[in-house]
Amino acid sequence: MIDPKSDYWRKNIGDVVFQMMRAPADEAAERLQNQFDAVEGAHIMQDPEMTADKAASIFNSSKLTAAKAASIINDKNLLAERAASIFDNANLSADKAASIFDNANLSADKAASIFDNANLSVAKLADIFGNANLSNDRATSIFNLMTRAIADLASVFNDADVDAAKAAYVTENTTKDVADLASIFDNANLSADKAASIADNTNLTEAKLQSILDNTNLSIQKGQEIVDAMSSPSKIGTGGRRGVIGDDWEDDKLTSRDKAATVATALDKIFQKFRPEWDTANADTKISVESGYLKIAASADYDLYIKLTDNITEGTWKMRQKLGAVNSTRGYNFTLAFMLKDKDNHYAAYISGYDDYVRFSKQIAGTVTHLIAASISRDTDWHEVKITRDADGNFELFYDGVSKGTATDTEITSGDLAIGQFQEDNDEDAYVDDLEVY
Amino acid sequence: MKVWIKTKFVAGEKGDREPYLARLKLSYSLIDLGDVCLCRVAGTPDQISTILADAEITQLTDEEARKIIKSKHPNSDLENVDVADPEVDEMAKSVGIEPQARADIQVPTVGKQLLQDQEEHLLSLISERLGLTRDQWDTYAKEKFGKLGIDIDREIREGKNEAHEIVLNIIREAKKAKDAGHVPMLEGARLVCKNCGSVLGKI
Repeated sequence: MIDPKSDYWRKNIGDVVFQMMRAPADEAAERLQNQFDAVEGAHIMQDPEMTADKAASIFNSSKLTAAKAASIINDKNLLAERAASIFDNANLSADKAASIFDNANLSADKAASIFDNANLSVAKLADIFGNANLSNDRATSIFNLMTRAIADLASVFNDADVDAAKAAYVTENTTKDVADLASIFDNANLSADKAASIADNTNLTEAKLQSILDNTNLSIQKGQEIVDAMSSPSKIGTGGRRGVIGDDWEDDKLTSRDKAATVATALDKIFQKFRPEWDTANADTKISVESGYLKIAASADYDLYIKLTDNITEGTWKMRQKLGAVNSTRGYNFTLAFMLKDKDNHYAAYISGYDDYVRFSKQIAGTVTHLIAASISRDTDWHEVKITRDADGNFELFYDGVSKGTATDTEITSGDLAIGQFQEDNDEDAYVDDLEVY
Repeated sequence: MKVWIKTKFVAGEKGDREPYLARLKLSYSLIDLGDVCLCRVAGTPDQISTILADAEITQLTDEEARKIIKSKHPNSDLENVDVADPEVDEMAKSVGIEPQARADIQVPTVGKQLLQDQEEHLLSLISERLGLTRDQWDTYAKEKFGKLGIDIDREIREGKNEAHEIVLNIIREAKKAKDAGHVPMLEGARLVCKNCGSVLGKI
């Protein structure tokens, strides 16, 4: 082989490039394959007289193996920016390019520097990255070392050429920080639909997905749009910033709901079931939504409610509640009912409609027992009412973030979720907003 | 002030079942035992005196309450039948602390409920505002019980009513003394005035 540092080489490289430029690509590729080593090949491909068009055609030729091409690309004399231009060229197919990137003769470091270079368009990068000839493991190794802008990485994940399985594999196995992954999922270049298909894919474990959803680099809004589009939203589990049921009624509907992509979420968590379809069979016309919250109109009826089948027995049930007036002397409200068998059998947490108490009560066969009653000063402001229950039937009642009491009861063991008026008539309207179950 | 009692169920204003509390409207939490209930009630010392004077109501110790809780719910304990003490909130207000400061604490001690952590936090703030330091609590607890102040904190977090009342009683006396112009401090097992040295209240 010729020493590329020699006078002979310096004098004659021009001739070699000149000949290759005029020879058919296959012929030039055959010469590159058989007559020159990687260092020489790199010099030839780096030469300013060698056009990117021609270089791409030569690399694309079947006469030049992926292994040899990878060795040439890997050589320090072929700069990353030049290699990126060649890989970006339409004359080099994604199939061949992917085979070169998959080859062990090309280091992951050099491959990443080419993937990072602006001369390689995001579209072509995605073509190569998503190509089946580039294995998932190799793609992950290169991805780990990439420093390309988050927006570009999001575009790559979003590209139709990168299937969800591969993106999920890379997301699962990369050594990049979860914060970076959360930023990619948050980026506008990655659609919620594509992110959802990645999230659904079995290559991405529940644990990794959940860590991304919990990271604050992913906005609640985008996170909810992604989960709304997932086919298996239960995969997100609960804990951190994730919950089971959430409703902010910002779409002013109880059925045929608008999801987060249509009307932005007002909640501070990401939910498996966001703005669910409520069973309104018992709502009459008294339960409605207006201006982004639920209204329970004053009524003599006491079995008015909207219901959701969920059978959640452990966790947290939270809502904001507002009284229409504080001079009422009627009505329990029994607003947030859970573990509900029917209107006469359930637990409930609520601001009392008739006295200065926040309560946690149970109703068994129509008989009400107050398990926690804590004094408050009633007003017509919004207040947060929250109740938690563990597996042993230990409850804790909160009012505006302050624990008001704990109680243990195991009489009811399962049931659904409902919001409404379960006890006695109310002579004032009541309002509910921001329901969260997690 | 909080107290454990055993009392009967009676029909409330709406025909619902509520614990008999000598016709007083108080904050409470309960375990349903059928015709009767184990109840932790909170109120002012006067209100608690009233209900304890009622023949229908039986006062219980922490240990007696625990036995009842365990017999009905083996995995539960004192902390699981508790109620926020409005007297602590009133005391906080009286020394210029917003009772909502309870909500400063949102992460519970591992494996426990939050009420006691929040209440202990508010009691600590009140105590500091009255000039009772952690060192003073340590010397008090050591001389009185052979413990440290932190042991009393732990017992409050465990839901022990007796620990809650020990602390609240000292706070009551310190507040009274401060209102009377003294500078209260714990000196061993006594509450004394830092300025005049007189012994303040019974603790």
